[in-house]
Amino acid sequence: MDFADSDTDLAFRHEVGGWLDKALADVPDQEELTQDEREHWSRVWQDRLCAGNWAGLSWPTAHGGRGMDALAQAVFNEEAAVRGAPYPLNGVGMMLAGPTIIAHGTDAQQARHLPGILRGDEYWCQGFSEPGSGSDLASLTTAATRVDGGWRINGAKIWTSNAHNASRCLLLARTDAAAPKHEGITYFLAPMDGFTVRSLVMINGDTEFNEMFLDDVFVADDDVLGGVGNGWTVALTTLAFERGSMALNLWVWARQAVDRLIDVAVERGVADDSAFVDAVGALQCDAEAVRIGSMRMLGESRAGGVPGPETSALKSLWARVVQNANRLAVQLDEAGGVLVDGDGAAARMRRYLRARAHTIEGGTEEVQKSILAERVLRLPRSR
Amino acid sequence: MRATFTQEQQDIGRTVGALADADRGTARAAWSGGWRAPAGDGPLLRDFGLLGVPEPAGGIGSSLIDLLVAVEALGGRLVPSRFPAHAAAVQLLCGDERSGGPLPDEVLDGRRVLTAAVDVPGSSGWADAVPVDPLVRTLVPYAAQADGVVALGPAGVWFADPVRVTERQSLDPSVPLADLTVAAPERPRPAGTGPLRAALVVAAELCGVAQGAIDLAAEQARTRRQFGRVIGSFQGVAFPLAEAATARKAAWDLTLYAAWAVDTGHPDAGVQVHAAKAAAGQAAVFAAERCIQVHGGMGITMEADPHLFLRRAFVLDARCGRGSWHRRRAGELRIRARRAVRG
Repeated sequence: MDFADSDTDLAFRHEVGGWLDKALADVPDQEELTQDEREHWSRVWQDRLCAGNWAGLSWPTAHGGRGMDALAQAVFNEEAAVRGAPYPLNGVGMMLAGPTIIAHGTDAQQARHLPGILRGDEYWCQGFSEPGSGSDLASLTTAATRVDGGWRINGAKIWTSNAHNASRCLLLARTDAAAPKHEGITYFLAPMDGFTVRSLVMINGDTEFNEMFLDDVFVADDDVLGGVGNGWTVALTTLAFERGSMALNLWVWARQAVDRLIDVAVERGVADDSAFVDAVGALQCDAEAVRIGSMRMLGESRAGGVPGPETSALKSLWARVVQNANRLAVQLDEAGGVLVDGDGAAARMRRYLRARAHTIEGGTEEVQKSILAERVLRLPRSR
Repeated sequence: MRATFTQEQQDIGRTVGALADADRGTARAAWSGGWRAPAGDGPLLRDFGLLGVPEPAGGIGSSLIDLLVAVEALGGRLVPSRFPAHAAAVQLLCGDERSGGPLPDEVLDGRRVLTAAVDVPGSSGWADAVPVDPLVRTLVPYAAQADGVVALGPAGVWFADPVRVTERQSLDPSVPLADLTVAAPERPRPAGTGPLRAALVVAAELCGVAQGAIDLAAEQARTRRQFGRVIGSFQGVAFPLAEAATARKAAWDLTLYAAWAVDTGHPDAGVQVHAAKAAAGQAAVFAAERCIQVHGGMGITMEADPHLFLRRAFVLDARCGRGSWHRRRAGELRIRARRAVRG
């Protein structure tokens, strides 16, 4: 077992790193910015990625991409995260919509949608979750009814990041209410005309995501992706791209959370307290385990295997590191974190509150443990 | 392929696992009549002695991870072989490639069984920085059953002559422990990464113990029925086992990476080893505790096996530097590294 980068990987990281260093030279540390400022830089960053021809990094050259594999996208995102790059405003378009349309779309759909993503003039969002369908996604009830030339859709979606900037939506709706729940779903590339978008305020004050209300929204037959009733299979493709593209970011975020925590402790003069040192020791174990586990996952993927259920363990560890590090950081504040009128204290509290989402978003902690119990420990289904 | 086991490593795991399976149950045997060498003891010492030994020390280019894969397989079955302790002693001698030259043939082919004396009474860390006087070591495994002792002190490592061996009552009778007084070294060799390498051998065995406890607990959870269902279908039972599996995976990944870091002279090898040893001890103790819990009333009896895993986990967590000490060292080194970056 060898953990060194191959020469090919090193060369690619070098190329990516060189470009990123230049492109990020004038971009401020995102952690210290307001929501509006971050969104501004996300837009700027999206434009730079498109101009630099990185938007279709893992897309085939025939579709205007660079023809690299999905792992290259993960490595690019990792290098960007290490440098604290903004999240690109059309991440859903580049990393989810594009690859899913390439995998399941018709020639016409590919010709229609892919160029706009590469140019950066059409932004996408992901309309999967619903108020009544969280962890149990396949129970979704947004209903599509057949009409002349297409479908009339009614329902509500929730937790939709970036819906307020997007014009197209990866939309799941039920087209056959009588079919078993996984079989009656269809995947639409829906134009968002007629969607009502309302932002949700998170507990830290940010407005990252939205609710979307669909009242008699018309979607044409041309915008069905992968066939009527085949939506669950197509959705799994999207979810796999989602996990894959972020696979190497988790360890970076874990390490950065520990870095920030140590910086606060040093500033407050408590970095040598034994209780603090012990806590950092524990965080270091978990944070490094995420990094090393990610390398092993990448290795397995390259060797032709499919990343196993063990990736659920990495997600759990990552969430724990960031949550614990961010909690400790606010607790080191003079007033235990409750006086939030200073910039630093407010930012730390904002990050702590944001991190509460880590055991909920992208598969709750309970779902991760169920996956481990069923697929690693071979215990019976508990739900 | 990067970060994957080689074919050879998979073969080592399988071969040693098969050997260990034949020895199943021998950890319990020590409860009546004390420790006896399991059947696999001789073959392991004879045939696997070159695993993880660097070439300057007489090895054949086998990596430290090769050795850890073998030791992990033994830990999972609680095999009470002297092989892991012997291997840790050998690794303690392998930390400085410029000194010492090849190890004696009779050590590498297992005719002379070694044990390592690294822990100091009254201290939770190992003996590399602690002023040591007199030359007393504790938690030395198989001291009476070994042919030689490798000691660690501030001046380095050396083949030590035991002046006095005091057998202690070990929590795990299948791993006899003793206090040792050794003669002062005449010409110790630099320890180098020896203590790190030895600690990883212990960490690997802990990862095995954790896995063995998880396997046993999962088997119980899959078969024991209450309220008309197998108990593994209750999330209250299943989730702690998922946590144990997560902790064990984390510890094993840390251990493998630390071994690579030590073998390749990576600058952060130290902090990696401390993290690995700390995580492995915690994972093994946690897994064994959950194993007892899942077994319910039987779990707290001597006749069921879960306590055997807990005993082995405690003994290994305490050896080669206590887990809590390694955790603090990992924290100290992490904070120091961050301070250096920030200036």
